[in-house]
Amino acid sequence: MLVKLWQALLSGLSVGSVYALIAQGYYVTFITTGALNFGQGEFLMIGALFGLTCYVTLGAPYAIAVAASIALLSVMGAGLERVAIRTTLRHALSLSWVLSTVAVSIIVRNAAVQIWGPEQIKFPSPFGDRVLHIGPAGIFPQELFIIFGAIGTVVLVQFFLRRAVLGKALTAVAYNRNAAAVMGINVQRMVVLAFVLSSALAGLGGVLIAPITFAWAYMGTVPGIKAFAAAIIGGLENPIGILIGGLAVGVLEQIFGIINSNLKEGITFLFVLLILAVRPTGLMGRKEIEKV
Amino acid sequence: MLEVRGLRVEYGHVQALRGIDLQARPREITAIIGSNGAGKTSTLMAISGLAPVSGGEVLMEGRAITRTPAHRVTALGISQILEGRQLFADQSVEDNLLLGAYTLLRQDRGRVHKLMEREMDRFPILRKRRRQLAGTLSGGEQQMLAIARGLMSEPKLLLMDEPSMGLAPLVVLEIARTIRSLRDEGVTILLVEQMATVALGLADHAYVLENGRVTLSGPARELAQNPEVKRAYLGA
Amino acid sequence: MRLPVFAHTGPRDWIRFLAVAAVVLALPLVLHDPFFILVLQSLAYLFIVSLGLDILVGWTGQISLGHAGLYAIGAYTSALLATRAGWPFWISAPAGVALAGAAGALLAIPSLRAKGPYLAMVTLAFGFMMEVTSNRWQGLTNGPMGISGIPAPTLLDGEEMTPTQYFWLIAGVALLCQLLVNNLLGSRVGRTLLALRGSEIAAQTVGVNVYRWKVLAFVISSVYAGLGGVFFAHQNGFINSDTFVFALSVSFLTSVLMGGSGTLYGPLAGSVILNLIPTVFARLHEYHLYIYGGIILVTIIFLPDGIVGSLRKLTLMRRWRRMPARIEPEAGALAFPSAHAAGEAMIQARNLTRDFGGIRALNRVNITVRPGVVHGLIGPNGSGKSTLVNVLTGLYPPSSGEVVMQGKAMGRMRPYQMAKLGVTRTFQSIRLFGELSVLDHVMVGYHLHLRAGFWPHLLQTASAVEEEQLFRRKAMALLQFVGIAERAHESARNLPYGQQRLLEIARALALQPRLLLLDEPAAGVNPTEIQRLAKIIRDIRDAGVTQVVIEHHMELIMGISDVVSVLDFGEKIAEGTTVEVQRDPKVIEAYLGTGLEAAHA
Repeated sequence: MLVKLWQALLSGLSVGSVYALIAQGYYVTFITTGALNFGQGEFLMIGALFGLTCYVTLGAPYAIAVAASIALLSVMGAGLERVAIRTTLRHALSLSWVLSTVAVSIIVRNAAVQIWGPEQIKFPSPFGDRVLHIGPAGIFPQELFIIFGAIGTVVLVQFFLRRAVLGKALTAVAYNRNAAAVMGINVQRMVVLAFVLSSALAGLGGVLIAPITFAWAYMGTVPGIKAFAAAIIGGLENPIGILIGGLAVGVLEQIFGIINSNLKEGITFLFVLLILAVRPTGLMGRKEIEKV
Repeated sequence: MLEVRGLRVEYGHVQALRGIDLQARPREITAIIGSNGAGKTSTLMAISGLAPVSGGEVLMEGRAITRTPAHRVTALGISQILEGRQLFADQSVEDNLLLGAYTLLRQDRGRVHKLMEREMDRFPILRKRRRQLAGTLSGGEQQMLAIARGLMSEPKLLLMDEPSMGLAPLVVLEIARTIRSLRDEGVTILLVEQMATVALGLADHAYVLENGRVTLSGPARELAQNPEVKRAYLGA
Repeated sequence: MRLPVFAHTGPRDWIRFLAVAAVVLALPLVLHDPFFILVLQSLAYLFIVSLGLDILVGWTGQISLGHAGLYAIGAYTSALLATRAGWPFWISAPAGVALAGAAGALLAIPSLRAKGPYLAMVTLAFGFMMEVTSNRWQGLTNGPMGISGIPAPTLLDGEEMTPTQYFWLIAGVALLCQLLVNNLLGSRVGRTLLALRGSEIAAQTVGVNVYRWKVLAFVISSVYAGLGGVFFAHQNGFINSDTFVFALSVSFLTSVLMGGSGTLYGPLAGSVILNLIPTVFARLHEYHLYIYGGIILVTIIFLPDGIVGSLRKLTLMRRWRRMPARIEPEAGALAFPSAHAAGEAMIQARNLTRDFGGIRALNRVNITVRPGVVHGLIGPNGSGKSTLVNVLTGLYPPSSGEVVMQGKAMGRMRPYQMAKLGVTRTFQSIRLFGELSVLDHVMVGYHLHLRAGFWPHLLQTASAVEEEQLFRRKAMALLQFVGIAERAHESARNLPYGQQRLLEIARALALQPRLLLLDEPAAGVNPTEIQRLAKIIRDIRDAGVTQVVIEHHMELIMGISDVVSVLDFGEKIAEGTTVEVQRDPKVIEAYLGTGLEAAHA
């Protein structure tokens, strides 16, 4: 039993760190616009498949494939902002961006089916398939790479937001749009940047995770939604909460997977409902006091 | 320096400004007084590009800048200190100052650091607190930071919205002294204030706003003696 | 032709409705192609789901990304009861609907306080949970293999219905559903939901219990979704997990938005058009999803009001709308029998302290408001006046100290509970109910005085209709009192600022309060209106209502107040008659500025 738990913890951390990576993308756009990309999972899928084309079909090194995916997704992020976000943010129905990003995700998924077909494609890990042993449990080198890569990126993003001038400007826009605008910061440009960053993170998530899950057109939806649940559990405006939320969801699923593989799929959603009933802005979210 | 002609602002169906004319002369303090909801803040926001202008025009040094987006207005030498300070509370004092000079950052980093030193000389308490988060400062310190941040872009015209808000009388005095010395340094100031006594005491010229219209204007000393003003705003 | 129920529906509406019903029901007779009848059946039950979803989206402003889950509950419940327990359709179907409704009530709990993406997550998570359940809990649902052999409903003689008969059943129920929704949304229920959407806080201050009404909206919406699911299950005779997926929830939502959320006939237009698209574009199978995604995008971006909403805007511009009938104001609407209170204190603040983060907005404030007076509250911006009003009305709990109402400590009271005790208020930043008409704002104010509840309004009983008319006349009288009766039928949003403030007062008066708190009623109001405002405040006092008035306008406050309290930095620094306060040196220093001399120093 203990071995199983240890194994679940390791696999959970690797899946969870990808959730955390995607969720970090939700965080960046949520703080700047209050909106997020419901097709983040589809963007992840494009990252995986495009990476596959570069890495396997074109024979480029893995690092190049990663960079190419990030670049493609950055462009897609800017496009998404233009098509689905800027056009809907001022609507009376405050959540119309949900549907507009879902619509984009439907189109993107259909395009992926046409380009890469509907089948699952194996994405060979650049680190090989030899299982490493940590304590009594085994882990693929790719899984270790995911954990370090994803968490490292999350840290890097936070470093960017806190230390780089551009990141500080983005943080300022997130905190107070008007104040940022009178500083001379182009708010619209920062919003685009937020979506570029968010999409790039999804792209990276895709190339990281594909070697352990297969790459295919339908791989993204569920991780995208689960990452959203993780962000909600942690609290959308708290980056640390999101990181912990992502890892927790990953581990929680694996642990419940020991008991029953069906439970594994549903537990995250049950969990998020219970948490929202008690804490409407997540476990570590800001408590909102409406000013009157 | 700044001239506003027939300025109108509407939020949906609500008219906030119904045609306002005013001028801010160079190296002077021009005050706008009036009750809550009279349109004082809307006037400043319309000038700085944050409020939707539905008519009239804004001229900066003779050039029309009506409806220019806020981030470009700043580059033209106009800086606004927003009502309630609106600092970036989760960023450090230093970062707030740095962002104040955002328009200069691309061109001249060294200059930005000099400016930062200048502001920390002006408000030594900010130097002491430079690494602290802005949200942890006291009310008076926050107002100083807000002013310093507004000065980091080296504005020709400073728009100040209720600098006295929520501050103790002694602190208000200190802020008032700062405002006067800024004028003496050559900054043109357009000051919106609810504390009419403070505003009229500081200003060279003043306007009274009621219901989105200018109802009175003139030299501040004269307005301070005006019986209407006394009755409505000075509580005498 | 007035019936005991549907009393609101006039002969003209009946004729129109019956004509539409006749056309719909005749469709399968005209074109009796089996495929066509199947399509008609689907359109009818999908329409029912959209109709219910629109109650959430269009009337409460909540989005649901999990309606497929509710649909699944209806479908599985009825299918399982029919196949495994052998229950007849007529019993299994209501069971399915009831269970869906119960799920909706549960779903309302996490939805109550969640906002924005958090709120979207609630329904999304629920939808996915149901998706996983139907796919993985094979012992119950048989997963992708599904449940087959679900019987069609039987007629009285035990024969199974023919497809045409089944269509008549679904369409008949759908028509009834539309009729009931029209009743609900045209009545107090729709008005209250729209009010909540416009401002939950303002609705609470006139006694609306947000939680109960949100649960109600969720339950109605879920019942409709469950009903759709039941009809679906018994149409095909087979259901499996492939149906109840996220994409279905998206399509429900799209049909509502496409038709026009918050319009009575939007769901009809949307569900018919959206669900016909796959049939029309059947040959372009490969591109179907592009077209579908494109349609959603185009709808959201270019038709944010939907098809019906956009058409309605056009017709409004052309003023084709029927002019509302004149309403005679009811005499005596300003008599507040409960207002006059004996005793020393109407309400008391005892050592009230309130902190926000590290900032102390109120510091041990003691104030006693005597019954029947106008109690002025002044102080510089940021001195804690609004916070005091917020604590007194139950919007914020005090950090320490207590609020005492007529000798009774209040403990933790919510604004709607304070409203029940006769305490209400207006707002410094005006809080109106979005698009609601001026008259309807006051009608929401009467919330606690209206007797007819959900069922009478659902059926539009004669007594509910009568009560509604009586209170409309009363509301008119209140509007007349504040002087905006001539704008009763306009959208409140179109009123100028000053009149919006007067409307807030009229809305608050509808509660027939004992204590009315006015937060800066003169802000942004022009000088002539201020004169009127002063008279209104005096008249309200003469009617016996105690008032607390926050104001910066010195002339007004000194003219109307019997007592004035002065706050500075969250502390009470002075109290007394207007003359006493004006002479108090502390007040002069704090409120009136540090003096010209000081500023010149």
